[in-house]
Amino acid sequence: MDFLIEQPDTVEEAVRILAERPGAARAVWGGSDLVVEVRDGLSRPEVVVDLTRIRELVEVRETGDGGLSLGAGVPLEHLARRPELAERFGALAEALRAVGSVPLRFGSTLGGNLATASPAADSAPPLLVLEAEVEIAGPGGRRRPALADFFQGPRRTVLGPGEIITRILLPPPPPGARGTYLKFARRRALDLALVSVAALGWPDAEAASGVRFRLAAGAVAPTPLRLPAAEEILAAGRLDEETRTAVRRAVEAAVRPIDDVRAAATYRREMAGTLALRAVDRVLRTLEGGVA
Amino acid sequence: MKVMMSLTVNGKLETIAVRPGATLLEVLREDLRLTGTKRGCDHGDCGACTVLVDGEPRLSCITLALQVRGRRVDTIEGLAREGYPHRLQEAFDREGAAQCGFCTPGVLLSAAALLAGNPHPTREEVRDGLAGNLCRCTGFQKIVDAVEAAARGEGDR
Repeated sequence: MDFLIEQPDTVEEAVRILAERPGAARAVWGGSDLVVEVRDGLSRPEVVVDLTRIRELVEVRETGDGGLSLGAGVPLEHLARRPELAERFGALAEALRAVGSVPLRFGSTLGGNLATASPAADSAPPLLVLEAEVEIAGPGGRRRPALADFFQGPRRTVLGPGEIITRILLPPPPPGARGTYLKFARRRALDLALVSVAALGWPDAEAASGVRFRLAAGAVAPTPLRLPAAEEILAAGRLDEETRTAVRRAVEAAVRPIDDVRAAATYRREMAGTLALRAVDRVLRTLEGGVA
Repeated sequence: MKVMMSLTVNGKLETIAVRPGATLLEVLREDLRLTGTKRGCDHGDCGACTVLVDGEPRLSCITLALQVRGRRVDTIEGLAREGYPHRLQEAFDREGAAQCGFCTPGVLLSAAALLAGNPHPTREEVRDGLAGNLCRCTGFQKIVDAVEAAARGEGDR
């Protein structure tokens, strides 16, 4: 591999270098995406900007309101081992442990997982149900879009020239919320999801069912996807057979999976419905008082 | 154009000139002649290139050498001490956990990192800790057996 390397200490310096050479400079953290792309001749950066020296990117901070600010460069394995993640953001903690393998998780980050924008990215469905925001730094300063507006298509995001992700902001989850992440793949490690679903549920007296849900799916559309129609059905009534069928239908109608070497679209569509119901059941079992 | 860098490999400070695009794996094998670390898939999938960086297992084939500037790197060559095999190496020998041996250095380093943080892992935790290391010979059972035996202290010197 033939490129120059820059190792800035600050976000501002990294942004300056990346913005000076649009198209020719690429950011790297663990290399599981970029180094593999370069080796396979899929991209030929002239300059690689190593983000691992930037302190700001490895900070994890309480936001004071029950939320959490996660530096975009904290290794996923470090995040997965943090007790506050397991306690308050369980869906994300489960998803991080489903990524690749231990050595891959020590060398990969939320910033990288999101910027690569694979429809199968494990971190995306839980971050969608947690309604995370993405802080982006670029030549024009910082901005903070919702993750739901961040993905534009397979491997396409709102990141412009010179922009990098600096933080992922998790707002406080609704009181009493419990979450889960289910990944369906051919093997348990080192594999991409064929279908994945994250669910977050919490008691809500105003919902007819007594519990409100957020659902999101991965690997079944050009981008990770929230499932609002299924969420509304779950809030509207008891989880009987009729509701279960309606949830399944709503999920199947929302997803737009592809056929590829790993699975057929029809199979992915049906499994998305199955996984969504399993995730809902799992959350209901863990909710205190066993609502519904 | 090469760049000078220092790093500590198996306890020894090394100062070398590296190409900016060189991976840690290339520098270990070609510059430092530490060929115990293996090049398998070269894509971060198989785990044969696993080394420890500041005690954490990392894939050296997708890590750029300059990213570990000033850091501590441990390879399979540093696992044995004063000529005595590590208890994991003893256990692998006794349990028949190595066949062709190509994956073994990476497996041993993943296992060493696991036991350093979790001295008495469950079988499930061992399997999870080693899930990043593919072995095409053993079917994994004997590898897991050996790590469990080492964790129980069998083979302690």
